[in-house]
Amino acid sequence: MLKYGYCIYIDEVDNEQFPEQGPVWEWFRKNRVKILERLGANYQGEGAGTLRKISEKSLQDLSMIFSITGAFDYFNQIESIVKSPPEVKSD
Amino acid sequence: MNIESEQACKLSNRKNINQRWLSYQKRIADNHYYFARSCIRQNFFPASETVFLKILREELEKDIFDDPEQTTCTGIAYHSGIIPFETTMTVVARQFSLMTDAGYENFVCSCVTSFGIYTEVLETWRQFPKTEHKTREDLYKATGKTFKIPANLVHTSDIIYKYREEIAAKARYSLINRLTGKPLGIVDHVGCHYAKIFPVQGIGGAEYPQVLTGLIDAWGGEQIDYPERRHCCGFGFRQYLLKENRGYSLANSRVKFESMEPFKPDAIVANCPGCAFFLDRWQYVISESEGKTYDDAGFGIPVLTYEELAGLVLGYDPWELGLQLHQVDLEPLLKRMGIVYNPAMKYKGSDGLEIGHPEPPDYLKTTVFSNHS
Repeated sequence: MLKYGYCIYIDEVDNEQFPEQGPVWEWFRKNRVKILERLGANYQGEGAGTLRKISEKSLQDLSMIFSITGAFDYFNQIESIVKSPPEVKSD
Repeated sequence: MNIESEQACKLSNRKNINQRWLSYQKRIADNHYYFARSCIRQNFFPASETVFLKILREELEKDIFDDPEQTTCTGIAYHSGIIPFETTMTVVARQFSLMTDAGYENFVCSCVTSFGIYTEVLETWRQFPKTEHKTREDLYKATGKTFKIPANLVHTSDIIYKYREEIAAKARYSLINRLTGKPLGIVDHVGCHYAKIFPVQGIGGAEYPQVLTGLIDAWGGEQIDYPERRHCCGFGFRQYLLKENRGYSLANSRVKFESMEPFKPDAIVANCPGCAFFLDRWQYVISESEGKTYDDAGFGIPVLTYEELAGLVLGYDPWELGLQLHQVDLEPLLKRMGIVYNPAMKYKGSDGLEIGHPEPPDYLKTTVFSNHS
């Protein structure tokens, strides 16, 4: 979200992690510049449009919101629990 | 209750019409929209929002603002449990501030997950004014922005529903099987977050949503009613994100496919981009892992977004609609509808030159080789 301004972005969704995407996705990702241009998208471009590049100002806004509302603290808490999971006591 | 619903209720008192049903009607603004894009739709159906804007601007002559500064609503992260609700509310507040700054008051979102998020945030603020006040403070501290609450909040499919008859009047094709002359059987799949969270936000509520059946009826098709019609597609966010847990997601879609199979649907239409994606891709997974398809010919059941369906009816080129990016092949449906198209253009790039084609699946049939041999 803070890198692209999107929840998901085509550049990061590969068939290895998401094999259910199938061969169509593999072909699409490989040729995404030409296909997205044909479909009228604005892939990584300035201004409005599908899959456009989100401006630095907007990404900064998101980052500041995450900071002020505790999202980074929440991430850190999740990470620390993953690294050192609490001991589960069994009877 | 909005003005239309109040008027309808007054009418019902005279005519003894069901009160609950009337509460499931909603106001859909008729022009001047602020457009909020969908992360999932842009990635997996990258032509659909372009088609939506084209229909609104060129076919319906409406004003809609496509704002480059708008971002994710954080919906997937929120429902996956990795960010606090306070963050989501403040990001939503920022979207509203962009709308306010642009001089609009009718907020239209393309994502059903986002629609659920926006309605949840607005309902939270309505019930807890102090929370709204805190969100306004957080937004101002973070960005210096302020905002107005939208006068009207709808999903993009609501607008296509509102103008379905106008689209029908311009239609080049209808949902009729050109070979038999009979209506095509269409499954409507309405995303859970459209009306299952807040039924009053959906046309027809959660149990009898009309947002897609209205399109099917207006454009000549026949609704398919089947036992698991309102079952979730299974996306569910957090179980899908973990690769090891995706069987939960797949199993939900499978329940639906098995339930609809005896009714032999010609196509599925969805208003949620996530649902459209999973109903397409899980058919591929089931066919490749079990050798099973849910149609007689082995191609699978075509799945469309409502923009794609509207685009086909209006006579737009199937490949400009991005139908070549579906894993379940759409060409059998195009032939049934009698759509004139050029199969040789299916896998071309923007310059009209060859860019190869997807590898055919092992089991699921596609028209790749018949077009390119």
